[in-house]
Amino acid sequence: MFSAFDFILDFVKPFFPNVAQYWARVVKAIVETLEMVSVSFGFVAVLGVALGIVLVVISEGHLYENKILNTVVPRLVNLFRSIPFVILVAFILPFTRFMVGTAVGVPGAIVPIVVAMVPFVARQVELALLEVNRGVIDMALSLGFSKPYIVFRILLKEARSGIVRALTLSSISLVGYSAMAGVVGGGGIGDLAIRYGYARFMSDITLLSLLLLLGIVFFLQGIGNFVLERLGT
Amino acid sequence: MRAIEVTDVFKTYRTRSGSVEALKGVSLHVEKGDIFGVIGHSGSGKSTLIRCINRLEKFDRGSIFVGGSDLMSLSEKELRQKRQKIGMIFQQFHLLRNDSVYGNVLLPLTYAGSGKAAAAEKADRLLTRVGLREKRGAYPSQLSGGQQQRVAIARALANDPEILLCDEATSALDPDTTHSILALLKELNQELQLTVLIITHEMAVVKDICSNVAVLDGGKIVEQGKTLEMFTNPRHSVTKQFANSLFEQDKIKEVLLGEYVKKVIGSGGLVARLIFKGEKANDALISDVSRRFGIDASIIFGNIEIIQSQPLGNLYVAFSGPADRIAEAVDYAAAQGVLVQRVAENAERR
Ligand SMILES: Nc1ncnc2c1ncn2[C@@H]1O[C@H](COP(=O)(O)OP(=O)(O)OP(=O)(O)O)[C@@H](O)[C@H]1O
Ligand SMILES: [Mg+2]
Repeated sequence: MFSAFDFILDFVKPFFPNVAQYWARVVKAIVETLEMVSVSFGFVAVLGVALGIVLVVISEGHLYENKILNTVVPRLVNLFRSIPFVILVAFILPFTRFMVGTAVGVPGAIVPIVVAMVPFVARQVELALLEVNRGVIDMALSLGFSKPYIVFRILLKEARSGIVRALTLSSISLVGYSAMAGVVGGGGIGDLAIRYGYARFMSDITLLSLLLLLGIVFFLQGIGNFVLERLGT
Repeated sequence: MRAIEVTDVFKTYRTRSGSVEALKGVSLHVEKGDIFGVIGHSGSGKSTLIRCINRLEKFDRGSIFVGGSDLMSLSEKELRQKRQKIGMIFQQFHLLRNDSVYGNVLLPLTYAGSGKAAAAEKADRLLTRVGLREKRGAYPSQLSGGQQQRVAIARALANDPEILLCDEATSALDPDTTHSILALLKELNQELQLTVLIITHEMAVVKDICSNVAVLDGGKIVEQGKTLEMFTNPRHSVTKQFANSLFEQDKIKEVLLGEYVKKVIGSGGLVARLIFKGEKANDALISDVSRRFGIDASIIFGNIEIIQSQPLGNLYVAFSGPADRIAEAVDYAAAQGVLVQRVAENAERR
């Protein structure tokens, strides 16, 4: 894995002296960020879409209308969405330990990232699902379809471009969270930028960190656009 | 056994901002194989009523039997099976935009568990029936409103329903397209012995294909009966409004205020509205009356509507001549089975 990055090293050496010196650390940071982003994204996508569906179907007049859940769940989602990320990291520390056995490193970062991102994604997915005309659900009911079938075959498919847009957007915010999570012990590019770039005045490392994060963001946006195009929207 | 039997149904919507009594004791019966219309103004409860019939909406009181089974007593699963036998089409078509025309029609077939080959064959047949086979690969956004409604009809028919509910199915379409969709419904009704319940606020729809009609107003059925009868001889004021809209009745007001009518009335004449039903809808009677009683009879306004393929004539005739002869003429016309309404006459005559 490390050697794969070596050819880049020759290229960057003259412009980024410190980067060359701490190359192994830089590569490690990149790998950590990619791990954090991809693993959290997996969880966030599944849990976020699931929670988004729940938010919609329990709402008034919907398939699984439920007054109690509909007062509790949206409030919880809003609550978690309004806690600043750094505070959330500290606040859920025991939970993080319980889940992954540690509060530091990549696993220690993934838990707070997921907890912070799921409500965010859920709200986005909710909006996408709400864009599906209510009449479509009536139509599906009138054909005698079961509720799970309506949710998974009709609602999700009709809202799919909105959901892809929501997931693209959140994967990008997720990169930002991963940078912050790094600072509190997760490693990754954010950690690299703070520890070397900022604390030791190695501005070439800061610059590189910035470029790397931007690169990841553009890449994710590109994937999102590609998928949307394939879906024909 | 009737196809649909609605008895004394009440439905109140309760919202935070208050409650709305949408249905206040609605009863109606639809015979098998009939095309039944429910007409009413906006907010009269039409959608609520039709949505109760496949239980998209629960109702508070009363009973609804569809094909002999009590909707309120069905379990979730039985209700789903029942709904497969009650097709429904909507004003906004509600096609799935991420599925092709073919995919939309195939969906209920695959859900019902038809084999792949059988489902494909049937979807094809349905699309051919509604005249859209060559559009099978298109997506809803690429179709006109009329074409989309045809796809929706094909989809609604996928499970061979006994009943088709139409909630303002042609209200988003222009008159020509409306006519072609209604013609399709009529054909399907005859080919498949399909019972069709249509709700609409347009007289043109009722007039075209409904053999029976109920007028809904303020959550109550105010009048119901055979379409031709109802609009020849409307009793309730709302029915009258709809009947008048059919005959472009608003135009007659101007004519009645015109110089010619004033002159006729001034000289002791009479303006009467004659309504001819069925084969009597021809104006031979006018010349007959004119000759027989030696009076002048001129048609000042008129139209003939075809309701249920029966002509219904609506003529405004100005009679002038000796008053007693006119009176005899009017009696004679009435005796011939023509409905006569005196519209304008000299006040002294009354
Ligand atoms: N989901 C609902 N919640 C609250 N009130 C409702 C609801 N649906 C309908 N209503 C009310 O019930 C009454 C009847 O509505 P309905 O939709 O059945 O009328 P309609 O005859 O179909 O009218 P339109 O021709 O405009 O479609 C209206 O006063 C309406 O505001
Ligand atoms: Mg309506």
